[in-house]
Amino acid sequence: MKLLDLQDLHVATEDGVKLVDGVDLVIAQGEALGLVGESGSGKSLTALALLGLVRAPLDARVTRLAIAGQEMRDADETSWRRLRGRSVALVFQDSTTALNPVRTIGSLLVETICRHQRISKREARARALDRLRDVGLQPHHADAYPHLLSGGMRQRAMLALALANRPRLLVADEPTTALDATIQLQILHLLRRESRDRALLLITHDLGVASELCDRIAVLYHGRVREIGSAARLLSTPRHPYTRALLDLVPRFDMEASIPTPIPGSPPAPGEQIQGCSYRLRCPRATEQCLERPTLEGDADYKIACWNPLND
Amino acid sequence: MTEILAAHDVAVEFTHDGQTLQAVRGIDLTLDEGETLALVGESGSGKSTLALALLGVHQLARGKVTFRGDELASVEPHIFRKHVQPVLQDPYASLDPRWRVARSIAEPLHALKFGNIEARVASLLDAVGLAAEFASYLPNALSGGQRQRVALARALAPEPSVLIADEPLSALDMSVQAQILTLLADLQRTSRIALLLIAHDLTLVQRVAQRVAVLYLGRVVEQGPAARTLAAPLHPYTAALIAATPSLARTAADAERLVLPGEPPSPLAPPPGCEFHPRCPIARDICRTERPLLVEHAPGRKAACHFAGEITRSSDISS
Ligand SMILES: Nc1ncnc2c1ncn2[C@@H]1O[C@H](COP(=O)(O)OP(=O)(O)OP(=O)(O)O)[C@@H](O)[C@H]1O
Ligand SMILES: Nc1ncnc2c1ncn2[C@@H]1O[C@H](COP(=O)(O)OP(=O)(O)OP(=O)(O)O)[C@@H](O)[C@H]1O
Ligand SMILES: [Mg+2]
Ligand SMILES: [Mg+2]
Repeated sequence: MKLLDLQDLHVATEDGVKLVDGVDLVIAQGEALGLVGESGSGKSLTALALLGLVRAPLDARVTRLAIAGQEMRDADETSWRRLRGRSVALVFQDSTTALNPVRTIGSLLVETICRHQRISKREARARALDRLRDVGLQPHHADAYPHLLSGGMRQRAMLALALANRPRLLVADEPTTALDATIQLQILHLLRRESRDRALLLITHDLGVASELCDRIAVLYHGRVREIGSAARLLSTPRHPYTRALLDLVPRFDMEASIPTPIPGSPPAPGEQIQGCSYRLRCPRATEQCLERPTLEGDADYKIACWNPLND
Repeated sequence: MTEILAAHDVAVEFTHDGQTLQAVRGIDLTLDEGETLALVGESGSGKSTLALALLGVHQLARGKVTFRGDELASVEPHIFRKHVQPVLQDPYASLDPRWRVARSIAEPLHALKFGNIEARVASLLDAVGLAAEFASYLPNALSGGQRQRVALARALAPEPSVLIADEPLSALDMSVQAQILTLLADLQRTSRIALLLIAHDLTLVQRVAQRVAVLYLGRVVEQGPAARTLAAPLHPYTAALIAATPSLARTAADAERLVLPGEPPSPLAPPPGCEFHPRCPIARDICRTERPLLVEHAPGRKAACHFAGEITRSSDISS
């Protein structure tokens, strides 16, 4: 069963600047999909769109958006509110917008749990403490206000909040960036456990994390998916030159320690119009043909948008 | 080597509802001109608190902070602010939501009577890989990584001598990270800027830091040259951190074995003896009763462990 079916997502500014430009994402039950791509490529906006949280002055449009079987394309705020936190939940990239500063972590958790489940306050409180334990926090953290927690603790509190009602689709936007390696490992296990019979969309810039947790990976560049396929295939034999470049930059411990060379050039400026493939100007394989925009093509298992892919 | 910023037996406490939490419990650190010192450690171990103490934000329960040998209280605030710049862990908190990017970056420059502020802002934006268009953006229209780079540009604006950067690259993809690292390396070469880098990504630490200090529950448990410390750690917690670092080669099954047993300790009720003993794979009786001191085990290398060096290869931790 598809827990996420997103077709043709567009997010644009009032002035018509395209920030997300036709993204399709499908996630089946039991599946974890990784979304990777450069800073500013539209990952967080995609995540927000999946929860109906793209706000004016931005505008989001889809051809289809179904979450856990529910059609949400034309849903109003009331239906979104019923869905959010129960069928789909988001771990925000920043904790400041997600955690109300004047509420304790425990009361936020209890409120979220009670909004969607008919249980007593006491039961909800017990469940809240369980969720805190799941993310490696302690019972006394329930009484803490967000600003009294460390950065990594706040990040885990957000995760506990998102997992409070065991959503069928969890969207996690860089959920481990503030965590040290041992706690990150613990959280990755938790995410794997939680997504086993549900679904996970994991946004990350850490391909090591994506490879460990995700069944499939989608590579986003400048608002468009450039390559999507099984994690094993993408990481071992990437075909899009951008995916290859990202992989070449993954640090390894055994490597002679030095600062790697960034991908030449810079990502398009906001509103910049580039004819054809917008990676063309940074791509070592670009040809005349790239002046025409390649479409994302392939089958259900694997798709690529490139005229001159590698490993052919 | 010239010392520029130092912590001497620094302790920071927070009191809430009659309970005292010792977030930083007696830390000695020095930062020299032109060097990068990485601060790593468990979430909640006191890294950000120590950084804020070094910036003079937190009141100290004990100890002192010195800038060029002078105690912080005796340094002119405007001099300190020009020379010691922070990049806070939460870039959302460090930017005024009502200010456009250009104004945020320019703000520290006005007080310093910088010449052409506009040109300086433009070159800073370019240096952190942001197109000129972003100058007119408000923070809420920036992506996570863009915001983090604006916070960094702002900190670099007054040409500080010390940058205290709390996870400054955590939201950046590898290509932008590489670009920022090159920028920082250039600054270090040309203007001998000292960098205190709080990071959890050990592959990053290995690439850019000369020295590393590992924190656990408010104390330094290991300290030494970055390359040697990461290649052959002395403290089992350092070994665990290294082993847990994700890599493309690691399988899910490998990772399963690497999880540290037990729960992170509570700073409200630290365990007796060595604070790491409840989770340590090599703990013995003495570790449960006697707290090991941070002592030198090899030239320049210190560790607080009764059995320092027993686990050196990270693979040992998983067996
Ligand atoms: N309200 C807005 N107005 C104009 N542009 C916006 C707005 N919100 C976001 N953007 C732009 O949309 C682009 C995509 O942003 P998004 O937050 O989705 O990036 P991201 O892929 O999550 O990046 P990061 O990895 O840095 O978090 C960015 O260039 C950003 O500047
Ligand atoms: N203002 C405060 N009031 C009370 N407690 C605080 C305050 N700031 C931090 N703490 C507590 O001090 C401890 C250390 O926090 P700190 O933010 O220094 O950790 P950290 O090492 O930076 O962790 P992370 O890697 O998760 O950011 C934590 O237990 C935290 O809850
Ligand atoms: Mg983002
Ligand atoms: Mg911190």
